[in-house]
Amino acid sequence: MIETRSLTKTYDDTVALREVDFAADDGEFVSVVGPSGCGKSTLLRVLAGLESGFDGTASIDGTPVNAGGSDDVGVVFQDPRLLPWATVRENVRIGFDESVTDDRIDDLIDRVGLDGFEMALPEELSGGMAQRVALARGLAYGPQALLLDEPFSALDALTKVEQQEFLLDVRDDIDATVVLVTHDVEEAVYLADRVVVLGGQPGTVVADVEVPLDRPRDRTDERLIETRERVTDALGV
Amino acid sequence: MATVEDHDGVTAIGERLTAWVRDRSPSAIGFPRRALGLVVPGLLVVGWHLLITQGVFQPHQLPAPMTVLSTFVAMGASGELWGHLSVTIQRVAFGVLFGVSAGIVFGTITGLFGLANDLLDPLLQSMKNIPSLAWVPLFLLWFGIGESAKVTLIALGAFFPVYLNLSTGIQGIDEDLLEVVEVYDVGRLETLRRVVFPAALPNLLVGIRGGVGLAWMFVVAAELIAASQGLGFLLSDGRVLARPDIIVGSILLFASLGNLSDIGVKALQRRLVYWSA
Repeated sequence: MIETRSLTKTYDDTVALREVDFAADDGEFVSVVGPSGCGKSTLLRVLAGLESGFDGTASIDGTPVNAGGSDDVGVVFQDPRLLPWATVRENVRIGFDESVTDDRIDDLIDRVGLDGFEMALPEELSGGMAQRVALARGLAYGPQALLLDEPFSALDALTKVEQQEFLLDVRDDIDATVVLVTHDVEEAVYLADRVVVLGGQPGTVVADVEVPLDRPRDRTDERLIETRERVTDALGV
Repeated sequence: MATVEDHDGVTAIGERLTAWVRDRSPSAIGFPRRALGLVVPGLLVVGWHLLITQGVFQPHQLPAPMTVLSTFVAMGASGELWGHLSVTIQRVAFGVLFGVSAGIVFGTITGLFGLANDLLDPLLQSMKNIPSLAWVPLFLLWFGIGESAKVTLIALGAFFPVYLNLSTGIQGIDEDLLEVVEVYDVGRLETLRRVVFPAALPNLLVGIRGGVGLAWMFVVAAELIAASQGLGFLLSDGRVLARPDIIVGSILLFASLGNLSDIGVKALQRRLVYWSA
């Protein structure tokens, strides 16, 4: 369970988040959407343990999140953030303990569909492949929570759809709670069980929208489109 | 319609410019293009030869290329040249070894620790501006005219580029990568080994390249003033003996040695920094 209570985060003079109560149940997939500057990435960074100094509480499975991060969290950023000098295998190893065997790493690389690329360097990979290496790194350790910060926003439309399907596939194998931050309403609704809408400056929760559909989903399903409209309305677009 | 033509004209220039820039990029330089670098020096030697044969320069001012060559071939045959060469190369090698090592130590410490940087960097930054020749009297006083004075001077020359580049390289490490390391709780030593040092390696090699270059500058300073052997000594001996062929030949030898060492470091650079094309 991921939870924040009256989370307020201030950078110098600007308040990024004000009194945000956020929760994601075990195994739940929650999308967080909002306009630029609403603090949605800040929320994710707090949960990832990358922000020190905030008011309120933030916890993952009851353990307070502090700067330094938790072992139980995997994070995928907007860009893959791979070590350019390290092979795919060594990049995924970063997510593990140093003592992990190559076999375990290679299993994971296999699972994200990059079998045969263990010894490739990041520069040899396409954007989508590099992002999958980042996902494999995030899944090392079998984290309780997978935090995704606009992981598909830098990809072209076709690759994006591929990677979204891929994320859903991988998620079937693990039972991590997923929090996806995105500015893409369609993506948020299609992927998640629930969509949390942040708005305003400083950001606060303005809506919490359930997505009443089982998976696999049809992207053109009426109910999906209705939900999308509810989210868009909440955004005030 | 003039505006359209202007626009097209501008675009054409733009395209030519980008093509030109692309063509000039180092990656485009293959073997045949590198051989082109020999054309201008070759023409200069021919011109030099003509200037002497036409009597524009007197041989006691500027000897003919063939005179220089035969003098050095003779010195090579008698074994005299190899003594000077090996002494100079040895001095540079030791100077580079000590200078680069010290540069790595200080660069790492100031790169990693803000306090060390605040304490040391202003001093080192101002020391790097002291001209090489200014150190010579002091080093002679401290170390006498032996090898240690020369090697220390060369080491000092090699030190600064390594120190400066490595220190800024470590300090400038990508914050995004450090966040990844933070999220996955990578230990301190592991972070240094797997992230910080590889990230700073390109800077280190740029520093070493500069350091080796400066080592050749400093060895001349050291040998011109206090030496009984070495290429620098040969240079000043040529002046004393009024032998311009020896002076010119020594200069050319310095140029080729500097060039060779730079090619060597560049090859090392390409090998070690394999990930950035």
